[in-house]
Amino acid sequence: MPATCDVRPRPGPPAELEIGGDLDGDAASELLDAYGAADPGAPTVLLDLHRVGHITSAGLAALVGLLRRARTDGRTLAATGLSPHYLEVFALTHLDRYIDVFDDLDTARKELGEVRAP
Amino acid sequence: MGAGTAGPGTGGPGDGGRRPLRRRVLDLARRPRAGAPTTAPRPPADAAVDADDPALALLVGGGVVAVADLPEDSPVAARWRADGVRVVVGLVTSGELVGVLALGPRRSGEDYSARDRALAGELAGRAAPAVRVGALLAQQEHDVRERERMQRELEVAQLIQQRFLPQTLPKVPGWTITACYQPARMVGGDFYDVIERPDGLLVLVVGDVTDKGVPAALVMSSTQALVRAAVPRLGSPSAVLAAVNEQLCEDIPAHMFVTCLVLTLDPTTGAVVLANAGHPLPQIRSAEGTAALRATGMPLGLMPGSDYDEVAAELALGDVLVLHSDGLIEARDPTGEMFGLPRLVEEVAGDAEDEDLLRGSLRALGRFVGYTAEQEDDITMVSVRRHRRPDEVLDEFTVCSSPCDERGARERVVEVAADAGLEPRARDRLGTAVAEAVMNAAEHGNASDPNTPVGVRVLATATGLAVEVVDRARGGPAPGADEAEVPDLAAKLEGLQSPRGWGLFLMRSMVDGLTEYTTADGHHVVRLVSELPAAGEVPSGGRDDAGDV
Repeated sequence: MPATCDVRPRPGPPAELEIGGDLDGDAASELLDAYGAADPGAPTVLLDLHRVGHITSAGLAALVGLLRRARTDGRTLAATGLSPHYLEVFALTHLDRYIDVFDDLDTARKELGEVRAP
Repeated sequence: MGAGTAGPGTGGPGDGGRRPLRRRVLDLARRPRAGAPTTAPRPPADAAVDADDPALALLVGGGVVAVADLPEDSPVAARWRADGVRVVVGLVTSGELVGVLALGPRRSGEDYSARDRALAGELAGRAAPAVRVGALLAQQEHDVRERERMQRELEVAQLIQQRFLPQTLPKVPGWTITACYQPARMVGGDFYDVIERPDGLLVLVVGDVTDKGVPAALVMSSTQALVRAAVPRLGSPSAVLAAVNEQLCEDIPAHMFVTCLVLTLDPTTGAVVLANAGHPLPQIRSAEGTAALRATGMPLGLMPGSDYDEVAAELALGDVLVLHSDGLIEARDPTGEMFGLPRLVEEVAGDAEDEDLLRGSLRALGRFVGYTAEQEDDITMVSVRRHRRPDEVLDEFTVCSSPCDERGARERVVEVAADAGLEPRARDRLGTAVAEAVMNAAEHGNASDPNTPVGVRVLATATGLAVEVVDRARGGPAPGADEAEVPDLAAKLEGLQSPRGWGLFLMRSMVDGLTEYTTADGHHVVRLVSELPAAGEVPSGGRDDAGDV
């Protein structure tokens, strides 16, 4: 089942991508398209994953691709809504060293929203 | 030394005219005087002096001694005389004779005067301490080099030995194989091996080389290599031992030999066949008690053409087989009593689970000899236990390879695992591993063929759950199957590694054991094992991180 990505509109940082369904190989292009449409001025893009069911290895690869793109743009990624299992997967793969993981959406918005674009 | 005076016409032929004084002196120096030796003296070769040479007594006091005055029966004096040495002076420091200054004839042919002797004595007196220090330094340097050389040899031998011992033990469904190995010194003469034959038979080997240290380790490595080479070629344990024996008899140093035991095990039936070249007998613990498997034969490397008996046995469900080396049995306690076979049998007969069986024996041994005692001999043990019940199939289904519903497969397995008592985090992990395995099987094993489904079996094992994912091995090994490349996120972000390649890593990280094999009829099986913690144990957390070395 392909992931469905949509950009939740919100003025100012952080830009948010809410992702639902399963993150697998098919998610790669959807993720990149939605990322491209996200507020270009926002220094951080927040991935809200609480509606994600499963993440496969191909889904991880898609996240790595997204991360590379963000770094090229000089932006960072953050994430929230990960289940304990996928928190473990993020730690095992070191994704948590490059993607800031927050416990919940409110905390993420508070922390990231305070950072103003230069 | 010294040429004496010369006047015109003295000693020179046909010198009618005057010649410069200097030339005359040189001429006189070249032309030997009467009584002087007719050949140029050559320096005597260094002479090694026997400690009981009678000349030494005369030299040890220092002072100048004429060789002519040395005892007739002194070998070194005879050498000196032959070499034309006239006078010797002992180099003495702190009352110790450290060398000899040997002086040949004077060029003038004259004897050494009192002044000459005094000069020689003084020279000897100053030279002696310097010679002593020089000798000490040379010895020290030599010792250091020797130690370094030996250290390097030991390190190399240890590397060789470690390389040849099994790095991992096979995981065979329905069986638990464990081993422990403790060499007495850094490098030992014991070895063991567990070889999986393509036909599914397991071959277990234990051996012991006489001697310890580097020579034993090298013979050990050779023997192990010979056994490994013989096993695929030859069917039976006795044939293997006979072949290895022939080769060792040719190559092994005269005073050395190797005791060795070779055993085949059929994991599907429990049938055991054993041949023995002088090694301690294996013990089998069964419902009836503990007994030795008695097969005999000459140790390897002693007699070409040796014959080896074979003995057969069967391991029933729950049985344990223990192979060991002498080191365990012959270890002594402070009173000199040996650990002995009866104690080992007692340990083997205990109720412990397999890992504990070996550790328990080691602990018992430690208590017996006293923990601070130096281990005299290598200790090696290998145990093989047949699980009490074979795997029980809990669920079995197929998954279409294209389109592949790995999600459905994952959720079905997780449900069965929940019923079996696997706790939620372990279920999530198992589910992730199963999803990856099913995707691999569909894409690679079955080449995404919609007509070739992936098989999934969920099994209850003696210690937990196993999930077997089966494909038809069409596509060759999946990319990433080569374990050499660990996914490294930093490298991926730098573009040095493909962003993909997480599948196998996830599989391995999420379960307690992963094995794969191909059956005779071409089915490729990946077996994922999730252990159920024993009562009271906290379930273990995740595994090693990616990219960490």
